[in-house]
Amino acid sequence: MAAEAVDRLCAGLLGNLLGMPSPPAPPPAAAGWPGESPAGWEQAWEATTRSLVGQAGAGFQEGRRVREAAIVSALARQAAAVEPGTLHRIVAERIAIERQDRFACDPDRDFWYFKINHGFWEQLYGIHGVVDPTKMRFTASVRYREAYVDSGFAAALESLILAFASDDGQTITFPGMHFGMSLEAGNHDHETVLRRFSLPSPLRQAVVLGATIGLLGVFDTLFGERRLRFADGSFPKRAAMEGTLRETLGAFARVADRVVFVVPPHLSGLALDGAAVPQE
Amino acid sequence: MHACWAAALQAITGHILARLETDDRVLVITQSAVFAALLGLFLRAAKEAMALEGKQIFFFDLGQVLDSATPELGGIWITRHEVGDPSLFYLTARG
Repeated sequence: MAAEAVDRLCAGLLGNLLGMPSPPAPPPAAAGWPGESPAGWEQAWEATTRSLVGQAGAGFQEGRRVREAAIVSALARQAAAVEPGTLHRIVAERIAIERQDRFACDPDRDFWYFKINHGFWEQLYGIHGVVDPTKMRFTASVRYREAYVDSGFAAALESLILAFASDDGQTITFPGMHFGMSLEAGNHDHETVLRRFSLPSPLRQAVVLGATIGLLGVFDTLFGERRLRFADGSFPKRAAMEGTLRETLGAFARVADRVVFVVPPHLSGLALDGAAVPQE
Repeated sequence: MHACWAAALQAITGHILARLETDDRVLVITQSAVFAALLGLFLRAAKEAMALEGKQIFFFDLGQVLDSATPELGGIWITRHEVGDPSLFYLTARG
């Protein structure tokens, strides 16, 4: 598929996501991207994004307003229910996260692993909820509101979650992908997070409580009350600390023709050891 | 990254899909906070829309683990934790 056709496809998908009557133009070429010099492209992309979201269709804008109102109510309900004394029961009923130490490579199938750990869910609670300081460690949520809500980012993410989730009326799953979750920072598997919750640490308890409230509030808004089944959001950090990440990545790198890194400027020039293919 | 999500999705997805024209299997490794989830979902939607036979994307959101390539420039996590295989990622001269 030629580059122009790829651009048209991406624009069409983005137009659908934003409910635009016609696909947007590809973003203007950003100086320094991709490559070594990031100067300028981030500002250019931010301006383009503001313009695109400003042109989004009525359905997208109305969906944002409806969901925002619903999420306030769902978060208030969860904030009232999720307490130190109820946390274990509620998590056992609602959130399943299976420990994963490695992934096998099937060279003939796509592989998708991503994670959204505690911080995003806490921040959404902080943005939309009437915050109880024992369940929330963030006090200033203005910049998160700008980045996640005002930019349309959260609405786009929710739309894609809705598109790929499977709902059997009881449980939400994500077929064909590994959608990772951790109620902490991903240093410990889910069972350990819950075990450590009982240890005396107001900060750690606030992290887990805030993440649980935010996660359940958002997903209740999208699907109604369901059990949520996720992949292990602690896989990367645990595998890195335990020295086993090479085993998984090596298996994929051995059959790949290229490695592409999507990373911030301080990681420009990043490479995976042992990968005998072009890396960019 | 989140405030520029729409333009970033178009540019990055287009770049990765263009690689599939010449390469059969592309391993994507990212550190991009919550944007990584949006990118993974959008990229999957785009890849499926292309319906390419014999072309695969392997997508890994590894987050702050990648800072092990340059602990002095990385975030807080890498300054507080020790990785078991510190040579897994490194910076080339390009970086």
